[in-house]
Amino acid sequence: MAILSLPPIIRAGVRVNITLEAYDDNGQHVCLIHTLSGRIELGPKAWVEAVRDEVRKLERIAGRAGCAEMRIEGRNWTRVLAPLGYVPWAEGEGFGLRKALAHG
Amino acid sequence: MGSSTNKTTSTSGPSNPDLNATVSKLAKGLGSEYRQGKSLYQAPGANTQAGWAAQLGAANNQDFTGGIAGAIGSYGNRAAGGELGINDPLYAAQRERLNNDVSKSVMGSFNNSGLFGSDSNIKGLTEALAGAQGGLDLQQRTESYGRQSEAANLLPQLFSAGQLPGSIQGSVGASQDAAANAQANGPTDYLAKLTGILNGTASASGTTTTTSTPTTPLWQQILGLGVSIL
Repeated sequence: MAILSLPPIIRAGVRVNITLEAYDDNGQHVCLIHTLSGRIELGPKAWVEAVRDEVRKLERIAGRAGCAEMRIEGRNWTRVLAPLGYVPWAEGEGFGLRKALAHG
Repeated sequence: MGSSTNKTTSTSGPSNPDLNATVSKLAKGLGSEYRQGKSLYQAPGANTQAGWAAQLGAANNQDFTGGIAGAIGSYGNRAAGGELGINDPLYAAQRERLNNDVSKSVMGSFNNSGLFGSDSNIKGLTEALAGAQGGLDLQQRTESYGRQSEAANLLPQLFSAGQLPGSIQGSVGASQDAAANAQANGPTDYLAKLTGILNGTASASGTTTTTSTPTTPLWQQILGLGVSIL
């Protein structure tokens, strides 16, 4: 397991700190969005787009790095991330979502 | 976000050695996305810069600054007692014309009567001038008090108006300085940060990784922030 703290993601109306966790799960490498903090001071639509945009970037990087799966937990991100292909992590395990990465 | 954190220590033994390579690639990819020297600085937009230019242009309006400077000079002099009473240039000219008119009228009548230069001539002229000027001077003096008071009341407003160009220049300048400062400080050594994190990665080497995690569940903290956090 390794923790990677990204530098703050800063764009108009956005300042977010993200910590990723890379770990092995049954021989597959998983990239988990471990912690989030900061502020996104945007309108509802722009808020969702900003989140999706940053998550897409992280997916791309994780996929190229060899991660088979992207995961996120914490609050229920279904409304925001389901359109990107995220599905529930597992039954009875909170709001966790997962997505298989094409390059994993 | 919660203010308190619990420091937890987790130990992981040597795992899939490939994970180390994946983490390296992940860090490299993140370092590329947020690469060394990549500036987070966002240059002021066209509208912002146009607004600055317009404000500075307006602040440099010579008609305004010249007008305010002139008004301050004029009203300042009046507030100090100048240009009042018989020192009012316009009133002085009016008074002079009145003197001439009265003198011309009185002297003309005495000249025609053959009494020009007589005592009655002088007395008549004096009375005529006194009568004409007395009321006028009294009126002028009374009005002068009002104008002096008005001028004194206007000075602070004129002073404030005179500060406007400088205030605008200062405000725009501060914004421009802040933008320049942000531009100068924008580049961040992200790669060094990520490398440092990588060096501390313990998963493949079997050492201990120490992370700080909040005491309250992440989702609670996030919900507590309302719309502030993704």
